[in-house]
Amino acid sequence: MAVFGDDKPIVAISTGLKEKSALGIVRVSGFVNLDFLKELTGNAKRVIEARQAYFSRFYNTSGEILDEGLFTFFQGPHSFTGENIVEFHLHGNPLILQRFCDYLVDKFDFRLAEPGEFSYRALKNEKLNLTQVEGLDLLLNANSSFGLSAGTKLLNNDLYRDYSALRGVFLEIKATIELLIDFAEDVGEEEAWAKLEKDTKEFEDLIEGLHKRTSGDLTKILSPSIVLVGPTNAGKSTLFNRLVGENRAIVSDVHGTTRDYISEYISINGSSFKLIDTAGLRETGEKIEKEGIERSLDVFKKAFYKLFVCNPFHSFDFDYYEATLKECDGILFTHSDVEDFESKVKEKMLSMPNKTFFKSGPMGAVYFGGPIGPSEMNGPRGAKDDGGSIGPDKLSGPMGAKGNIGPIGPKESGAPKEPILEDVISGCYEAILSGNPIAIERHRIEISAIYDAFNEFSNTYKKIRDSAILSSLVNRLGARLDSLVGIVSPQEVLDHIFSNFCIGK
Amino acid sequence: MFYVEQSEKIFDILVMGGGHAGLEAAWISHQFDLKVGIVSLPGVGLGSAPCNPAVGGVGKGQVVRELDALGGLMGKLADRSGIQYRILNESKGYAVQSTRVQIDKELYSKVAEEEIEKSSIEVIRDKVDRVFKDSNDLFNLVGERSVYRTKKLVVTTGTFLGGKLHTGPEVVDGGRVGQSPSESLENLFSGIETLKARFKTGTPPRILRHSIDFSKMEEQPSDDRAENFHWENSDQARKSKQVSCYLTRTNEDALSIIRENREKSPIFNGQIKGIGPRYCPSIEDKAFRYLDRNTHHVFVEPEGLDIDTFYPNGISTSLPKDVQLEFLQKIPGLEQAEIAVYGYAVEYDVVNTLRLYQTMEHREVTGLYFAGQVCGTSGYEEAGGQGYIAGVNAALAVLQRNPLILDRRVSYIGVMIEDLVTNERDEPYRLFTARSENRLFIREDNSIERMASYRKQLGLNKPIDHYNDQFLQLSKDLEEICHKTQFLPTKENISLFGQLDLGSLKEKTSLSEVLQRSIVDPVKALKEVLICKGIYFPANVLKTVAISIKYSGYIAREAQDNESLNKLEAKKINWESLLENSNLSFECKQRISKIKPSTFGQLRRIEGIRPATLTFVASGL
Repeated sequence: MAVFGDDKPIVAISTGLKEKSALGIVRVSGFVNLDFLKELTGNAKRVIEARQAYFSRFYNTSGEILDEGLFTFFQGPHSFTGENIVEFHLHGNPLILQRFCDYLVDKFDFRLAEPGEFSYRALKNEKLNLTQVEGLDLLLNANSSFGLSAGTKLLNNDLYRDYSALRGVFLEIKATIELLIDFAEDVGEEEAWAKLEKDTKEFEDLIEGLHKRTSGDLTKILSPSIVLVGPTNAGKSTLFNRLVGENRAIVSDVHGTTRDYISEYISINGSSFKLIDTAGLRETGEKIEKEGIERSLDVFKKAFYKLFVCNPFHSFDFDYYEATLKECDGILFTHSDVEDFESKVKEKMLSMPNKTFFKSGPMGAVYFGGPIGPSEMNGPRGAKDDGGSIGPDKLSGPMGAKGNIGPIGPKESGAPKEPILEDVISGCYEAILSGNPIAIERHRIEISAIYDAFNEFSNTYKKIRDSAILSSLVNRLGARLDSLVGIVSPQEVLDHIFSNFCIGK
Repeated sequence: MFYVEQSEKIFDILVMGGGHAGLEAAWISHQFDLKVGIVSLPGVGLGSAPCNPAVGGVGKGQVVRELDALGGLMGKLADRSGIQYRILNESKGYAVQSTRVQIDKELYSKVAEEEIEKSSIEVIRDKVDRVFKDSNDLFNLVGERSVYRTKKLVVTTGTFLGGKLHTGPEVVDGGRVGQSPSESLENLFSGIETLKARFKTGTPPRILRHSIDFSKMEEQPSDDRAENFHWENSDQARKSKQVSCYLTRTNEDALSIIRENREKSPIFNGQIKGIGPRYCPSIEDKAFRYLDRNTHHVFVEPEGLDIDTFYPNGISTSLPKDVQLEFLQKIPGLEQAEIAVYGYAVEYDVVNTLRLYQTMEHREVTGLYFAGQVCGTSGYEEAGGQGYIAGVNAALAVLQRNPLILDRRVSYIGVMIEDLVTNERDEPYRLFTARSENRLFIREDNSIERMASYRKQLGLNKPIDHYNDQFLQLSKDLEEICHKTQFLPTKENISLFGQLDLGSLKEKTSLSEVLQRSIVDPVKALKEVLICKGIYFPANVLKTVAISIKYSGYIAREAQDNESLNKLEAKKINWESLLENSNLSFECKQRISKIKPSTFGQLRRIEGIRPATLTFVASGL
């Protein structure tokens, strides 16, 4: 049989189990009639209408109350799975919910659902298509607001419609080539080639559009991180604490921190970012620290925004940091309030291309309410492992003042506006999102394969007009398209999708 | 009811119908030294061509050559009576090129009768009224003259079952003009399921030669480069005198006459309810369905050397006689046209081919086979291909040997048979190359190679086997030469490449690699290189090898691409369990239960099966 076992009715707790909450939902799907519900509620006479909420007590065989709450019946095929469904709204103690499920399994021959099985049944019953299931997956597991909206769009079939349009043009192309081969005598050949020309152009436009939407690294888009790098004692951790203090997000990093880097979720202009403070980048003979640096490098590579933090007063081996600097999106100089700041800043750094330069001015006691030290840090858990590199005594001067790190210094009105770190970062992110990126890795791979297959077709088409070969290339393209819309989806696709679900979805 | 004497003789195989399907069925089965007979209506010639007088065409030419390589008859008859040869799709690549030959239809029929006469096949001229199976499990065919008994029965009755002819308001019972109809299928075989809808086909009016002004048309002479169909005629020498076809076009004047007479057209006024083929529309269809189009090709084809009529291909019609003449005379070159036989449409019954096995045997009646137009196909070649499969399997069944099933990846006959038994017919079926997933490989030039293993399976040991073996050996030798011949970038070779248009030569290059170059015409190049090297190979071997090498890269990649798909395609599925699954839609189940797909591939090809269903089934494999 299929990915999942039999067609038995399934039951699962559909709400989170991690903490006790006021309400919890148990969902059952795939039963034939409502007899079990009548028995459960001890009310054989009740008329149960679909989509009506009923309040009831639920009893076990010996008449004990399992819980009391609401239930709603959804009659298949007008339900999420396409099967008969009942949702029970119970009290949220996991023990109650678990006991309730166990009872249904023992008494009524229900089966505990496998992770993703509800969605699988929805797919099987054509309530959702593959793209929608992928969207649901994204929606349920997203940890960025973009992920959420991308998931919702998929569930709404937006992307599927784009794919269908692409497939529509493809079918035109295929039909025209077949027409040329099988009906050459019936239709004007020139007319057919002209149509092929037009359709090929249209396909090109569509696939170019989709292909652009696959550019960039998906992890950077779905869970964007900002990484702070630079020499030890440049002020990274101070900056980290300040950014976290001002932009603390609701989400917190469940994975905790490591000794190699610390991270915290922050929210900038409505988008969530993971802010990461790496261990200082410097050469070391110490093994542990070396590993830490390697791990920091990995985090660095995957980061959405890379900020190099630099203290212009420290001696600075430019050649050593050059490679890192090149990768960075921005460079922040601390201590810009000091006299003769500009001349202290390494000329080489300022002349690097494609960089945004930030300056931070004095950061005084007013802002932090006292000297910065490990005991008063409002940073993340585990910051103490950082080795105490943060402390007022180690800073060569006071750091940035106002809410934003930005223009400080003698230059007043008339001078070009200096960039503000948060705005620059969220601006970069918005710019990527405005390209409407495709949020499913499988789709990105398939689209890029379609793109390649199409290019091979159109290049050949420009060179030779052997319609047998063209048709062979077009069929290749078609196979990729089928695979994108999920007409033939390999087992792994489904396994992957359904393995990502939590129970009860 | 009157009683007739029952013949003592028991046939191994009787074929009901002497058309193109019937001929092939009888011809192949008699090669197994069985007692074979054809029962044909009195007065109807064997292998007659009531529709357009041509054999072959795109996809169909491949079928004729496949039949020929399997010991079939059609290619031989077509060559004997061929009066104009054409290579279709010549500019579109070797894989989709096909041969078509105009035949002298009287000659074709005459040669067919000669061949049958020379063979052990008995021709019975009688009208069968009833068929039943007796207690000895023999089919009894009750004719007007006798009762004929046979172990296996192949039914190839074309459009004659329940046939109705329409010319304007005139409706006559019959399978074609001048012939009375057979009984409707239901009367003959109660319990054999026919499609609810009847099918329709049509023919154009035939025009008298002297009334045509050919000077206003484009002449299309016979192409002497086209290869004959039959393997013994591998030279291009023709058996008959060659003549030309002519091309003219419909115009607005002609079409507006049809448009003004919509109410008189049986297709559009509701008199005809049968479904016609979309790919072969009548001129009424063209006029009413494509209002913005006012010109359509009309090929004016001779029906024979000594026949006084021409067949205007492309304007089949069932309009009243006066309207036919009126619109015809608006077409350039036909202004003075005189009609010998008016066009008409035929409606007929069709067997539900989903009830057949891939041997063409009926699932419910053992020993009963169907083939040809009665199965809802159009075309002589399609009929011939099915007739062969039905005949050979009836013979193999008599001999209790394994059935012969042609793989759809290797032959167009295989494509057609599988399509027929796994897809519901909603219009007459015609072979297109587009129906094959493997058309770079299923070509005319390599049909001998493609059919070799099937010939071996049959083990008929005829001269053709010897010819097959020789052909295959020569192909292998030449292929090896192509792989082993290397060109070093010497002055001589570079100039040779220049002379023969083979492109540049900068490093050591094999002859095979040269043939694969996109700018190189492989057949021409190989021929010229072999001449330079003083090596001789027969032209057909040379062509096959050159084309195979040319496409080998694509074919190999297709094979690789399709590997996982093919694996999936070939996976057995249990369609009955799909029906029990409460979650599949009703429509889905209906189609599945009709078609009974045994593999995922067959399920996938069922029209209207939704992606979600396929995803579900694929995930379960």
